[in-house]
Amino acid sequence: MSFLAPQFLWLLPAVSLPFIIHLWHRKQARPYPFPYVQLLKRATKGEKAWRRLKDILLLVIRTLIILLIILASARLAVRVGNPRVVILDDSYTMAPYWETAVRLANKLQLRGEPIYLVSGDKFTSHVKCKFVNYTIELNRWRRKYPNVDFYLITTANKVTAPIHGRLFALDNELSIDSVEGPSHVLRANPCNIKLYINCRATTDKRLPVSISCGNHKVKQYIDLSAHKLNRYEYQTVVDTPGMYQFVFRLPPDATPVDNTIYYTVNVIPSIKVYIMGEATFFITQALAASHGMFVIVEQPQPADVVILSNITSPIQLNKPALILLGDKIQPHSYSELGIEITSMKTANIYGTKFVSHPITRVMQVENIAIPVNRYWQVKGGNPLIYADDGTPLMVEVGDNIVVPFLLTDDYTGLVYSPIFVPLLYETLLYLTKMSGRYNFKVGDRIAIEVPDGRGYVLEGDNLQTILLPTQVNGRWYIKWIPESPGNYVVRSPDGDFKYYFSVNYNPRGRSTELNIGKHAQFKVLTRWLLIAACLLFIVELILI
Amino acid sequence: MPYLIVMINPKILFKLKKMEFRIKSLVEGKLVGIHRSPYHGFSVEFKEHRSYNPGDPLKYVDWKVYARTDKFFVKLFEQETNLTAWILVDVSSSMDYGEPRKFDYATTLAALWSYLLIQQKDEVGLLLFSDNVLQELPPSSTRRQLFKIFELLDSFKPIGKTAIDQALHKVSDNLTRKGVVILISDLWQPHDQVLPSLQLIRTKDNHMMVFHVISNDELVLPAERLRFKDLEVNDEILVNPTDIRDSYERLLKAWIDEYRVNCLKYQIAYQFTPTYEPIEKIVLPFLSLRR
Repeated sequence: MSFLAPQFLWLLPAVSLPFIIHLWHRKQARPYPFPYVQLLKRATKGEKAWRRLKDILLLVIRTLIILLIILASARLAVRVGNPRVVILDDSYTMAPYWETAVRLANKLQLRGEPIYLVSGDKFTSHVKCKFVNYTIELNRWRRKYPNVDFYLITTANKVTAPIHGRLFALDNELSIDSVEGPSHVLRANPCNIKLYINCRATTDKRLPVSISCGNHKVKQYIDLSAHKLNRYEYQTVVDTPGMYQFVFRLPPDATPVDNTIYYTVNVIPSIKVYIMGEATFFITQALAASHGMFVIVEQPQPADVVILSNITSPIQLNKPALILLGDKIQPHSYSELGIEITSMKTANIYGTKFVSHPITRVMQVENIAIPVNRYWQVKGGNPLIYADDGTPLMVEVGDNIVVPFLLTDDYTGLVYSPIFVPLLYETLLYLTKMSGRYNFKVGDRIAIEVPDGRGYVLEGDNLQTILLPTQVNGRWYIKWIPESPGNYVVRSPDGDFKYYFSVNYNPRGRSTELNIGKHAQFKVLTRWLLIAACLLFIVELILI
Repeated sequence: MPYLIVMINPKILFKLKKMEFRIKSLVEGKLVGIHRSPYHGFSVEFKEHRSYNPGDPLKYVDWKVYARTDKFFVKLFEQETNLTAWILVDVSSSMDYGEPRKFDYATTLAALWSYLLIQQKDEVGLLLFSDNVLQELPPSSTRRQLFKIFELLDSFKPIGKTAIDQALHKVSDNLTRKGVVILISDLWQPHDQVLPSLQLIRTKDNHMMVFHVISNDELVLPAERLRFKDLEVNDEILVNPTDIRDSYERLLKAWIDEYRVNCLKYQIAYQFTPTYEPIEKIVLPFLSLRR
């Protein structure tokens, strides 16, 4: 026996209600003087046994009625058979028989049970096990769930090892020789993905392409010509971070491993990079080469790159930004930034020594060679990194970081510098104020410490809500579990507190645990319990 | 006295005044009264003839009969005397119950009987008892006795357990001549203890009257669930009267009938006396118009 809604079992103490009422009622009887109680006792003698029996019966019946109602609410169920797990081969060779297989799976599936998918394809993360190891996985499941009946639906030629449970083998028809395309980490957004499919079909067919990312799934088609080995181009654009898989439903004699291409599209902290002066090719290259960063540079008025010298109006620095000093700028006071550039300085900073710093997280680097020998003297802000001659190389001004390197074409080796590119990268991470905790994943439990207990605004790409902090050990925390990837900020209503972070797709979110359902293998007794309660109620009425 | 005034309508009292209590059995009195005596006297009340026996006074020879039958017959006359009545009033705690209180009703009844009997020159003694005899007033037929009785009845309060048998034994010892015993009680004592004592009174040829005082609240139990506590002993029971109403009424009827039947058997005048009945209605069946 089992309870499908065990939370109602908290009502079990209510079973004692009839006893309490009985005792209370007994206590409530007021004393009444009477001349001769012996006669009353004699009168009750005959009735006493029946009366006591009736009282006990009523008590038991009322208790049972409450108990039955609670059990019915908790959905008491008895097991009527072994749980059933339907495993459907989700690989491309199943494509021509997919509808049949799904119908069969649905037929085998008991109510409420999920259908588990297996696949022989590489890089599977959405399925419960890879096809190449399905026998191992099945046997593992068999050991773990000894009372479960497994049903495997796959094509006949894949059955290479005995499995427990029943097997449903289907025939094959169509093939794809290969799918070509890069399979690596891309950056958002948007991301243009181009694939080539070398496919042979026995008839004119539409090859289904299933693109899935998280819970989102799109089905598209490629028209195939019969009896020709063709190279088909497939192109699509994704603009949301996550792990994408392009699944081609393949004919039986295809090479299964080629039928899926995976892309991981990551979220990159969105940082505005302002270039004072002239933005050179090398600067953008250096930014683009920074590991994990995604930079879009568009001319003449790009979204993420602003040439300050050409702007007359003040910069709206409402988010952390990196400000690089480019070529062809003059000494000037940038009041909107809170800094002043005084003069150009030329110095040989070979052998610059970086010491441990929270921004760079570089512990100790000596004898480095940054090919920068010209930089601007900057007044104002909080110098973070100094050159060995004491010149500030990085200045913190509020939420912004100013790097006064003079980046010109003279320094072609800049993008290959082992220090400069990571420095930029770490600087950008620092600007996100996450300091190592920036990279949350979907489903993570995020706790962000905030100064006080007032409501804070959580803003994301498609989200704006107010969260109330909870107090733990005297500190206030905003607790939140992200459901979709993206860039987020937690800010106070007046804007004096901001916390930027990003949430990435979580490829390890799925477990290989089987969710052996509670519904299928149980027969719920709610109706019978309620009928029994009604019958008992009628008996009670008769007894009363 | 106050209950007598309150409970008895003066008109009824006036009517009762014109009536007298006569008993059919013989009583032995000291004075001349209205009751039949076992002794033959010089009263004018002719009773019967009997054959003359040598030694009989000649003045009682009925010469007219001799003239007709030529045989000697002696005329016998019946003596009329007053009676001695003992009124036994149960003043146990169980009498302190009901509306009106059984105790008030019983004392009023006792007062009325005293009044009626002393009115006709009978001697009345009063005995108040509960678990033993609490107060005893020797019989007397004087007006003063009546006020003593009233005063005593008025000053008493219910107390103790019911022990009718002891009171009856006491009265039995007190009765030197044939008289009347009036028992006013709720009779809440087991029959096997009371009935032999009643029989004892009757064996001495006394006239016995039992007034079984019972309250309406005893006849009909209240409706709500109650913890009944005994008025006399430390005993209680939690009962829902609705559940036992039938069996209680059956038992109560049996209880009353047991007394009624046994009193009939012992030729004791039994009067069921519910307190809701007017008191004169209880007394009237025992009275007749004064001649």
